[in-house]
Amino acid sequence: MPVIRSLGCAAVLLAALALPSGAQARPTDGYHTAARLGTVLDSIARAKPALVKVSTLATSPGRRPVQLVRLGGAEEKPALLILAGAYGPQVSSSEVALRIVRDLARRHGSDTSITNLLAAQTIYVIPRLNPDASEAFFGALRHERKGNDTASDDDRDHVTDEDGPDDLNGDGFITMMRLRAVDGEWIADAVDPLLMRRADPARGERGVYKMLTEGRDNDGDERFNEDGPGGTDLSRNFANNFPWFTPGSGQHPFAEAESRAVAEFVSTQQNIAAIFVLGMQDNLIKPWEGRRVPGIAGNPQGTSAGGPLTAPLAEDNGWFNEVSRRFKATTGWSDGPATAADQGDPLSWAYFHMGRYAFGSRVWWPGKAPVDSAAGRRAPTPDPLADERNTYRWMRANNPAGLVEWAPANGVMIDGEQVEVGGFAPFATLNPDAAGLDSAATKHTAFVVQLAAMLPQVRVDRVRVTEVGPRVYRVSADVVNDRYLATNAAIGARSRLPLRVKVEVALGRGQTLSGGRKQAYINALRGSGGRETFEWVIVGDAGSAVTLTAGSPITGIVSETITLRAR
Amino acid sequence: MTLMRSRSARTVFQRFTTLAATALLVATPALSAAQGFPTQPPTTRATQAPVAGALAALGSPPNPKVAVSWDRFYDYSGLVEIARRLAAAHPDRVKLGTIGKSTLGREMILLTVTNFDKGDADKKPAMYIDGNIHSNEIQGSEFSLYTAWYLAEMADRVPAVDSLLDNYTLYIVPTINPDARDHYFHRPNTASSPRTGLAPRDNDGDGRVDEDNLDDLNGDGHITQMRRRNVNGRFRVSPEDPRLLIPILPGEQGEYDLLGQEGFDNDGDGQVNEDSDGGYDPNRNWPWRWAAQYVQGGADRYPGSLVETRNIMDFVIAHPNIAGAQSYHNSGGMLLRGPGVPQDEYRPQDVQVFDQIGRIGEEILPGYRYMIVWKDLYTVWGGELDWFYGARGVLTFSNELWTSFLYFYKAEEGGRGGFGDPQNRRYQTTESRFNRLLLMGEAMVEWTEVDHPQYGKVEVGGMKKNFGRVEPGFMLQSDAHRNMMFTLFQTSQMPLIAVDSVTTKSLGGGLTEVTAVVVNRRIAPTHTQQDVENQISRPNQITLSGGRVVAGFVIDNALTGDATEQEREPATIKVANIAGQGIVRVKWIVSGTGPFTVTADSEKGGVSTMRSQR
Repeated sequence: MPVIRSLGCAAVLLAALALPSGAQARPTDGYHTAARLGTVLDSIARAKPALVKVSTLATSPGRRPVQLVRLGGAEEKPALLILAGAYGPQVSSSEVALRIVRDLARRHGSDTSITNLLAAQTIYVIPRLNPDASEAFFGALRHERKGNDTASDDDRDHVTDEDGPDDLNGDGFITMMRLRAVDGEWIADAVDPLLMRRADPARGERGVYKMLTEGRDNDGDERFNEDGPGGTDLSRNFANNFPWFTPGSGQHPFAEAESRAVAEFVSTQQNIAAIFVLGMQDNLIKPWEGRRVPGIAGNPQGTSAGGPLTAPLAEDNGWFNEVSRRFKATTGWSDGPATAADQGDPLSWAYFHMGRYAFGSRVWWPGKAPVDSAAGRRAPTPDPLADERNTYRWMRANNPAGLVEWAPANGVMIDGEQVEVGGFAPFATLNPDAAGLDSAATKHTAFVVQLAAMLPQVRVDRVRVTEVGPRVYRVSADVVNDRYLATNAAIGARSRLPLRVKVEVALGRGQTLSGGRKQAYINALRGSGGRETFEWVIVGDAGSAVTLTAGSPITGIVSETITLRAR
Repeated sequence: MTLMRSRSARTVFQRFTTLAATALLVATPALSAAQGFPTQPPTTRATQAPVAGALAALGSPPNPKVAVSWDRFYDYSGLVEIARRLAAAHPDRVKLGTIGKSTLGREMILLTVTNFDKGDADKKPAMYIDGNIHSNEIQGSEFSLYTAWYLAEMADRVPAVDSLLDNYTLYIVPTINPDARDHYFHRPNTASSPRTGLAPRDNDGDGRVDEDNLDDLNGDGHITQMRRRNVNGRFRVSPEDPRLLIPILPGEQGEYDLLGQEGFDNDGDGQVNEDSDGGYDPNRNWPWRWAAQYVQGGADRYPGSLVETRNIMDFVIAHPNIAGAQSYHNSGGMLLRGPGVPQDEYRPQDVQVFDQIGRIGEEILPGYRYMIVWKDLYTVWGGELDWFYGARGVLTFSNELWTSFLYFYKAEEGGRGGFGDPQNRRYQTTESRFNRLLLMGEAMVEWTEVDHPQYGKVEVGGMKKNFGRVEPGFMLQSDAHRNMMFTLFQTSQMPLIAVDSVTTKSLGGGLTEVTAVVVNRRIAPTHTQQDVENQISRPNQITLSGGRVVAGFVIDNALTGDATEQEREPATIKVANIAGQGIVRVKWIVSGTGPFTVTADSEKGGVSTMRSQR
């Protein structure tokens, strides 16, 4: 159907242009479908082929590519990995990742700090890990779908994807529905009646409504929308604290091509020093609090007898606190939504299993709404709906289209009751408008530049040569890390991931190593000038040289030639 | 809306045809159980006519179509050749397929053993067997092939074998580590190496992979020990056997230093043999209770990082008829069940079943003990059997084949120290006495002097790789048979449901009450409690046809008549589990007078149908 096809193309092109003033803004403005994302990434790479390389890390069950962008040229340099779009409905994370790529690529060559950064380091970006799920953002029917296109049996009735949501009121959104029921447990909030809460029998309240996601019981099992289209939520398919037998988590960790490709990439790419996850987990607004948790039978966690770690190591706390402080200073944010549980998520996996410094940002959220203290508008204290009320009031002030007021869905009856549909519009609480995206991207780009400059780097310092006797020299040197982060976080030292800093001395002809080690390793070299001194006794001719090398794939490798002579 | 469907066995067989057509006619070197290297062909003696006048010994086929010498070990091509011959000679009992390719591209061959003339192999209750997950633990492959061979050759001869194959399917994967199996056979190794698979790994964190292997200094195909004369050494020659070293006691004069396993510092980093081929434990790579390398050594990079692990998981997920499993390891004479870690608690209903099977196993296999992995052995994170039970609800054992009990049919004191273990002088004596009294001393490589690139002159000698963890040739078939009988006992106790009776009673006005009794006469339930609680397999379905069903019920109490109605789709009553040796009664109110047909369909318990009397 060529006519429709060309119309479709025209619509896409229009969306890419700035909107004329007065035009109706659409919630997808500024966002890129999987196909558009690919086109834009390719055009960035074409513009700077020596700097940007785009490859396909995996192909989703829906046959969509998961792209890997490499910034910084062909050489494998110490690297930061940015991972986004694991949680499908949070398309904003993927858009921010795209803008980071675009911004860094654009500024390279004209902005010296960016040029230098990308000369010394590699930045890997996986902008959209779950393209199948995110595509629902652009659909005619908008619905916060979490799963990729793997067929799944969420309700374990051995039929897959048989009862998804339905747009009962025909507004193009899947929101919530409520219906009056004698056994309902919900009531409308007195102050903001869009908000629903459970009735509290202890306070003499009686439930009036049943609350369900919008849709019918398509398979007649008396459950609603319990097995919709979409399989695995990739933000739940990683191996740390994997939620078994949970709808959307997948058959087992890394059961999906997309998540396994990340595991394969991170576990083989030895130059990745830190991982920055744009997703549903946060440790930048509220830093992780590492602590000692007793393991099995009182044995220490992190051992075979005590079992896996369930909390970060307390030794890493200072660094997580400081990076958080810097993130807040850079973004101007001081408060944000609570982090999502670390179950099968990429952020906690990056730390606990890959031994990396791992930082997570929630990317975007509705800000603080002004407190409404008008009569009858005051929220109760304590407010069981504090977060929802704030979101609701923020929406009302900033994005009224993000709200669907409760209204009867014409003619739709369930159990003899009129169905009402309402609630937050899908995607509205996780995805800002185009201007909001750009603003969030600017803040995150600034932080990425800062974070890259914190990654460890080593140099050789204070080389001393002492003549102990004729042809016998004592050589000593320091290996120093001037950057902020250690060569290995405490978790990295524990897991021996990433590789340790190797310090190696190569002898010249006719030389003998009498004292010291030919090869030594530094388990973890702290930053901010942390140093370790090495010493060797070498027998050799005056004026002959030895070569000292130090480093690892995450720090870069430096070498220095040392001549044997009294200094 | 798609119905879930398991991958059909036929597809698997088709995938194998390429392999079958190409490389199977090569000569197949075997490792003689007693003699070790060099390997000696041929594997089979199929062309020789049987000697006349023989009286068949019980338990063995009198004149097998496929003659196999079970007193030796077979490398990968040997296993494939035997499997191919079995499938060719017994097309209606054995089919050859594959579950996928190994790291280095070898097919992981699958033998499906059942009576293919009765029922659909993939719908019968099934037992899954694999061997050789640890590449040095080789005899599991011969034992699993022996099982296929025995069943195929004894079919139509022993009624109990026929009944087993009529009702059940066995999926047998003789080696799930084919790459490193051949490494064990054809490269120098100890009794405990390689253990890993052959995906290259950096064991010592120097950024290089597999760069400092064991080295066969005397070129005999075995990695033994190195010793050096030293009057200040901590060992001396044993007075019982001059080939053995024993640790000195206070006041004794030393004669030798032990320098560890044969090898040198290949990469010049000051360490010896610290990064040999591979470098992980395939039995720590499974997603259930997987823990990172710093918690569980050998875990590898992430759960399911090994293609062999993934092939098996995909196969088991695609075959929900698998109710039981056994994984053959060595050694120590243990019939192990999970959990591997104390955090897991096996459900009591399931423990009862394990206990009943395990205790019979102890009787079948003298010297073997039924044990729990974490409690009686050691903690294992990410083990195969825990994934089978935890994630799939399958009743699974790991059989640690061969035990020192079998040396002299006596329980040994102390642990399983190998040669040179200073803690265990007595155990060495048992091994060395067995070597002298039953093997003519063949198990030991005599000490000989060699030049070591770093240590100078050293002596090399010790026990061969095929001693200590595997049976000697004359005991192989016996242990294979006993272990098989344990496996077949478990197989025979996997759930098997039957519609026991269908009765009708007229309710007047054209309505009939139809009552069906469905039984499971075996020990194992159709769904383990782990399965029931996590809804892993679909519920059993009991379906009435032959009339319009008005209402359907599960009868809770046959004496009082208490019944619970199933409102939705009453023609097919769903039953979460039929317990081992359990009975379920269901009834329907039907518009019609019959006759009615009742079909009970269980993923792990089979399918059974009965028609009512009019």
